[in-house]
Amino acid sequence: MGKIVLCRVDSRLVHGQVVTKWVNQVGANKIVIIKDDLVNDPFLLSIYEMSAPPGMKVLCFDESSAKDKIDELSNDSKVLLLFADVASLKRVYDLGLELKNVQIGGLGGGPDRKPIYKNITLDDEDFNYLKSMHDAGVVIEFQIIPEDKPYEFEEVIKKF
Amino acid sequence: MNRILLLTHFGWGSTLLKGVEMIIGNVDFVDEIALKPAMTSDEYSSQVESFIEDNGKDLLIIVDMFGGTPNTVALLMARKYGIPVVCGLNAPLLLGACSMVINNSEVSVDELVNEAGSSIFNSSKKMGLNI
Repeated sequence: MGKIVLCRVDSRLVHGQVVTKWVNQVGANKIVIIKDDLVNDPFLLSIYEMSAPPGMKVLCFDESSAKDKIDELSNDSKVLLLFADVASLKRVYDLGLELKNVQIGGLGGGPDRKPIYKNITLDDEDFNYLKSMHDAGVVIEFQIIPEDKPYEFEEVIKKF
Repeated sequence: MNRILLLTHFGWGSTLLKGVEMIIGNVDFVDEIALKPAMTSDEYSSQVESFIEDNGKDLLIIVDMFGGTPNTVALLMARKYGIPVVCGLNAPLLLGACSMVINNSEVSVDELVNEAGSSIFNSSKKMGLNI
């Protein structure tokens, strides 16, 4: 079954040193990306694999089979779970994936989005998704690199 | 190949180009699209693709390093348009690439990479200083 050692939302998914730092910080031995269109793009997936630390396996599952496929991973798996956006995280969470902690490390830009923490912005939809997860007991933090101090979602609720 | 497109984190390629122009004079065929901190891959990808649509695909793309978003986006352009991508931007590489364009030479990207690839070494050790 393995363990999810970090669940991170980052629109840039696997990018260079940022992911390497997190892998080292949390001791992950596998990266799992949940993204429907990436499942059908082995070329792009292989770029992400080559962008990860050498020897790190990078797997990709679609949203509907994510929970089951994660459950099937070997018991020694320490997984860095990656989502590209809050909406896909929420969908998979609602399908039953158990998460205790979620890290928001990078999100898309766009109109109607308010800056929350450094470069991370939220719109009403993302805020509501995160709030509902928060209310269900998931600890949500904003943090880009390990050197940053995490910014708690509790603080966001006060200001949003 | 008649243009060079630099893709870097934050846009340091333009400054590098100024340094290179001290050596070879002004060039008008090098452009840069910088990845800024708040950008998403999609925004960046749109900018890069627009550039290619406007300027054509007879380009060499040079990115700062493998593993970052500029490189990922560059490789998607490589797949779509057949544009070569070299990673590891530095002064000798940019100089070599500019010379290729200026001389309209038959030097291949592989030769460019071989030559520029050996540009990083311990300079002090090479000169016999044991540092």
